[in-house]
Amino acid sequence: MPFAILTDTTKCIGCRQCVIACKKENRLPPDFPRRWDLEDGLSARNWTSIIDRPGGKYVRKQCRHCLEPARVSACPVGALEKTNVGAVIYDGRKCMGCRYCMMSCPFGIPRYDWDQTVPYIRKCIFCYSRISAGRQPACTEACPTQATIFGERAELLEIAHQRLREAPDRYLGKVWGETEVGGTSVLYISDIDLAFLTRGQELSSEPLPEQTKLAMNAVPFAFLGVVSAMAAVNWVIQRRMKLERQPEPPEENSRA
Amino acid sequence: MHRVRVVKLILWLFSGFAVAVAAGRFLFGLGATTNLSDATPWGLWIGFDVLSGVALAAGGFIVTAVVYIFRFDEFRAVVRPAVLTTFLGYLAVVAGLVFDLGLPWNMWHLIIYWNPRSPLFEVGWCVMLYLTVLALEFFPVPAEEFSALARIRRALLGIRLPLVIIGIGLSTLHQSSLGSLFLLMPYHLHPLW
Repeated sequence: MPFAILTDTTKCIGCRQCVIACKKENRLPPDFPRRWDLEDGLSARNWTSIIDRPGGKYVRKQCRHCLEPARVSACPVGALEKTNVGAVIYDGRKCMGCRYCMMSCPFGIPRYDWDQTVPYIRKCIFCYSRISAGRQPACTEACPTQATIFGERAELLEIAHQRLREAPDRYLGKVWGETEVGGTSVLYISDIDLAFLTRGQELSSEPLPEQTKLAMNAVPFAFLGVVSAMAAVNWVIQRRMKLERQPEPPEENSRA
Repeated sequence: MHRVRVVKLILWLFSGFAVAVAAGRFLFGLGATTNLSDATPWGLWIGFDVLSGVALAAGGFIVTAVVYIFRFDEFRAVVRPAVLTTFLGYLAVVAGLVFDLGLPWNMWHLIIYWNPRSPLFEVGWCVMLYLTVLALEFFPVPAEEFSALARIRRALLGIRLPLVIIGIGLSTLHQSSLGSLFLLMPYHLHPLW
């Protein structure tokens, strides 16, 4: 039963209680702007943020916990893992710091400890220890307006669609995260377009790991193919050279 | 003579600066010594060094293929320099990564924590294995100087052909997987790609 978070931006009042709760729960150090920060407020010390949009709208940003995360199949040492409760968690002891996950995440979520000499990847881990203990994440617990709620993904999807049905003029008729890149565990319904949460492009519904699967599955065959082709070519050439060195058979001589 | 000394001095200045920055990277972190940010977590050197640089180091496998597989023996003379440049090129990439990786002392984790679905995993393994192959291919050259190593040298020369073939396979994979790295980031690339 994969869990999920549903954020209804029409209910968000921008109080940032979720941000504060997140910092407390994960013991994140205080924040101050650094050169390497992005505009969205997420950083190694901020795992969720509230983005002010024009017109007094607030949108909460956090890791989307993709159902088939690109960076889980990006990480060469498997430091990132999609758990069966839905959280994408990170094991710093395995990480070697290549930052390929940061390059491959379609939402640009993972952040780096640029100021540390022993840097790790930092991002929302869906309060993994809390939800595996049967509790809800700190952020949804802290939200005073139920704008961001926790539950099983199927249930939350139902709630989302129900709200869209009941108040079709209040929302744009779309549940963000239902199908993009194969679906995410953090869902949004909203009255404004949330395309700015990605890198700007429309995301296809195909999970990104599918893209490499084809290439990666071909690897052993490509290797064996190249190796055997090379061996075969070499065998043929060596044999020809050997035959050339030997005196030619008499019947060929007579023909010439 | 004078000109040589000036050039040498400039090169030493460059090296000194680089050593200072390298030390700074381990003392103060990547943020203090590079212009990397959460928006651009990979530096120019990844694209230039690791991707194009490695491609330039392809001389080793092309020339060994030409000479040992296709038996164009007239090119035999350039095998040694080609293998050496490739070997040094790959070593330079790995040395560069030691400073680029956040936790370079975990580099060997590639050997124990497998994620065969990752293109970077493939790149890492190819680099490791190909470096080994290159070392074995080149080792007989310095070994000529030491008679004690004659036996190892003969053994290595004996398996040279399979080594060359494996090397070609590895570098083919390696160069292709450098491309598949970008399959996972269609939203990060310029639309032209």
